[in-house]
Amino acid sequence: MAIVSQPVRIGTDEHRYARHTPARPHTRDDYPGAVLLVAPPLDEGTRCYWLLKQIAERLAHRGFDAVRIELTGAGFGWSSAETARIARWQQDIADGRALLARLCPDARKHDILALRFAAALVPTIGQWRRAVLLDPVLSGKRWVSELTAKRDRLVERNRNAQLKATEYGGAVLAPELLESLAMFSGSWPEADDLTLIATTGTTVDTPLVARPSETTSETTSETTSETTSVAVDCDWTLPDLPQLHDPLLLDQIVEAFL
Amino acid sequence: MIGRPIQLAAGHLSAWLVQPDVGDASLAVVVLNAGLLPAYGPYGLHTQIAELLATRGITTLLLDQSGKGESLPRPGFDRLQALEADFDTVQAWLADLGIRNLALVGLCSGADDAVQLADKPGVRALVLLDPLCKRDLAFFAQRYAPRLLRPRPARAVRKIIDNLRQVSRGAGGTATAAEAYDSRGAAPLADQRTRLRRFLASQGALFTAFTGSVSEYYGYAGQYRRFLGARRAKDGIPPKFAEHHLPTAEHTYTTQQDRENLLNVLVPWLEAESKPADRC
Repeated sequence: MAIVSQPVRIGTDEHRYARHTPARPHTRDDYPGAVLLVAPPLDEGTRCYWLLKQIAERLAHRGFDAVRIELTGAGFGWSSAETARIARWQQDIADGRALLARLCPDARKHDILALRFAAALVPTIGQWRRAVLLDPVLSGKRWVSELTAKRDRLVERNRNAQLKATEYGGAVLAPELLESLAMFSGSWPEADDLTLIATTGTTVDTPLVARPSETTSETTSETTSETTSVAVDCDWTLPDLPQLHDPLLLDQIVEAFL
Repeated sequence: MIGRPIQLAAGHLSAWLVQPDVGDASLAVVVLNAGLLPAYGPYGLHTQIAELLATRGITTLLLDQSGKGESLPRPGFDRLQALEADFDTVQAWLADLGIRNLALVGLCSGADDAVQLADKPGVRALVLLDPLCKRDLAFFAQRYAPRLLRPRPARAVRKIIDNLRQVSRGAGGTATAAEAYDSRGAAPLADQRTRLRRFLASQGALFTAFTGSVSEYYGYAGQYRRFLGARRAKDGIPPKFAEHHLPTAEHTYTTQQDRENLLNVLVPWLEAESKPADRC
């Protein structure tokens, strides 16, 4: 099942790379398109690593091109966490979309999968064909409160843990980022088809998940949206790095693109 | 300093290379993937090791062994065969850069993999982060003696006996080995010890660090030295051996301070090992 992925340079920084899992050979007519997979910032990105890798492989088997990106301060750029800003993360996604267009010129429209707070960063990038959001957190304040809860649980578990003042999700963040997160409120992405997937046990609440069907039906008549919850117990406030690695969830996400 | 992805073995193997701007060290560091995590390691630990080493002129390769991270499995190979094939590929590639000596770094199952490669020519140093270790009498004494000093020692004794019975049945491990805790598929502890003793005897350098998360089988600084054959914690092992107990750290080096505490001892040690004059 495994398919080799290729590192590809992304954006203007010569040291930043995405991973491209190419579609199986196809004709222009039977080509379903290209998907951008956006890992959430900080340690949540590591936690989703296997999930996103396997989704990319499954999508490639179904004929999609899949490009995985990490936001500034995560992955191999972990040491640059202090340079992370909301605008920078939004630019990362814009760079990802530009890369998708360059790598997959046959794709008429692009799809996106974004997890957690990465979902809040999508809207500024324009119209998508399909947007699939997993446990989206649109409020920066809410996301910081969850990171804080995780921090508290870590201290509760390990009373000897020494945390820096602005250390969240395993990384030391700039105070400016935390300030801007506290004021940030995202909106749902513009997409022909919007799917929300909420894991049980997650902190995403029902009103948040239910909202897009109301919102999108009012704003765009073409937009269809679904709300789905799956039987995966994922607690994002756990302080260590359990992998989000569940076949049910994997199938559900891949189905959303078909 | 340049960090970039590389693909080896016709794209089969994936790695991240961090090279210094200027450096003439004849030893490169290869950090082995810890299993389910990507090559940058938990909380970017592997990247931080590589970047610090680069500031000291040392090249580092963060490797996804076959079947881990971005690397494809090797069909028809068992774990050891695949690991050795990966090593040969990496070694040949680094030799083309003029680097013939290697230090292998591994956390958890990455440490197990590093031990398996200890006999390979060109391996000059091993860094084992939370490797498996035998539980000895001193471990049990340290673990249980404080309980005897608490009120109602008879109750504590009963509990200790229960625990030891469980241990002897292998329910939670054995008195002689920690394999029962091992879901990592590591080689048996006796094999690991033999391999490491041979490695040290051939002037190999060994660095070990244990976090509080492995307190089920590791309890005091010097336990690994004893496991390797020293009768007392301070003797019997060649000088190129370092053992650090970081009891407040967690297995995945969750906090920046955990990582800094490790890097503060690990990076200077690797830098010293990278200098040709230090190897005789």
